[in-house]
Amino acid sequence: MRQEVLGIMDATQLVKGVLDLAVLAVVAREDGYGYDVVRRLRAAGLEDVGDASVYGTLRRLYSAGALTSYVVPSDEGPHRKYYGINAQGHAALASQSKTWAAFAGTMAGLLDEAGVKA
Amino acid sequence: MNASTNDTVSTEVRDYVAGVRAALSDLTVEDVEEFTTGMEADLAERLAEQGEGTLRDRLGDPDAYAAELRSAAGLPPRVPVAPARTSAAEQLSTWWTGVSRSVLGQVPWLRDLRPVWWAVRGFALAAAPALVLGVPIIWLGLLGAMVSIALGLMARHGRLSGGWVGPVRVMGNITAVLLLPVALVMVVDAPDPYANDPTWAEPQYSSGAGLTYDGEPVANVYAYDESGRRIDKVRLLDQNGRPLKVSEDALTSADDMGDVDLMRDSRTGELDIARDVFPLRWNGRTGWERMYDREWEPPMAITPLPGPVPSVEASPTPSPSATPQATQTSPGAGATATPTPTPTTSVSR
Repeated sequence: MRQEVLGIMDATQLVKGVLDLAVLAVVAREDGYGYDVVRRLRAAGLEDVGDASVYGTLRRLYSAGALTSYVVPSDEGPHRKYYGINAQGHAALASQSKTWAAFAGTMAGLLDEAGVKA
Repeated sequence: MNASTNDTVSTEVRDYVAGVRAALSDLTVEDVEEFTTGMEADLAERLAEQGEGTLRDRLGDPDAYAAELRSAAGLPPRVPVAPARTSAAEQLSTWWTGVSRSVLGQVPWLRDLRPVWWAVRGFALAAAPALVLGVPIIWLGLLGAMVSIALGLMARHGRLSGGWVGPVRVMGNITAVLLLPVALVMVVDAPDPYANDPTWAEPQYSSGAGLTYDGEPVANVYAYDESGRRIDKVRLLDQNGRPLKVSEDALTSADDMGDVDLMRDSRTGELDIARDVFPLRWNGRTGWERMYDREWEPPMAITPLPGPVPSVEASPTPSPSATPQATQTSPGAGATATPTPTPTTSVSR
């Protein structure tokens, strides 16, 4: 998984940087279709995440082989596309979590030195 | 879940997906399918939630949505299309979108005034037919406003579909903005409802009534016979036997002292002046005086006509001492020949 380069330090950019990780985490918990994932992310507190960004991320993770996808036909209306996590996805999730934790720790240290409470 | 069963995916959603699809048209078919499968259902669910505006309001234009989609998916941005594919209408639409988005970005509460804009644009658009038909704008304007509000509501609730909706909306908005000043001018300059009401019409000259010459009214006529002498109290008849008569208007307008008006009969309002006996006289005038504001005065005599002059007997006033020798060669000297006193030469003593 490639690392996103952080740009301007605002919440939106931060989210973009770790969206892969967030999406993997949500899907790992339970399979979901596009908007379902969006809703769960928002419920968890990532309110500013854009719909299209989530869909795009799902697509990219799927293309990279970290997610599976299947279509669920519906009698009532259009089909829904569900995403689920696979072994490679789990591995990516684990590794990226570590990277994130390390990064967060580094940041905390830096901020501490600057005398700023996180 | 959704209340509708047959039309489970509203046309607004389908419209939006079509827009996204169009923005992704440079991708392979599989890629496009990957994105759009399930998109309808997701968008429908999104729309079914918290009701604050259309899909476009919440998610932005399909173009923007597609761009975000691509970028998150790691796909390159859309390859700039060849100019031939962007029609003028599409470019206009893109420009308008950009403008409206930046304006709304800076003044977000304008969004809430959208229904007001619907009414205003409907009214403004009515300026065009009102101008063409030459009718007052007020009724067409109200009708246009109502139609526009209805269309806006229909669009908001997803009842308007088809590729024509977007361009027509943009063209309509732009045209309305351009026509707005015209509509305002028409409202302010509404035609005077009394303009053609005869009750309020100012009295006009009765052109052609009474004696006229070269189109101008004649106020008085002075007659001279072939000798050049004045003819008084003359009546003139035309080829149909009608007496030539001066119109009251001509007479009153020639009189700037108001004397003529004094001659009005208090009961009937008619002028008590014989308007067909020339020269006209009233109020102690002989008729041969100068008309009020004119410099010209009727002369005692005018040039006699060429040719032999008739004998004096033809004169209406008999001369008391007309001598039988009054020859034909003597030029007419105006009035009757006055007897010349025989000069008495007195020899001085």
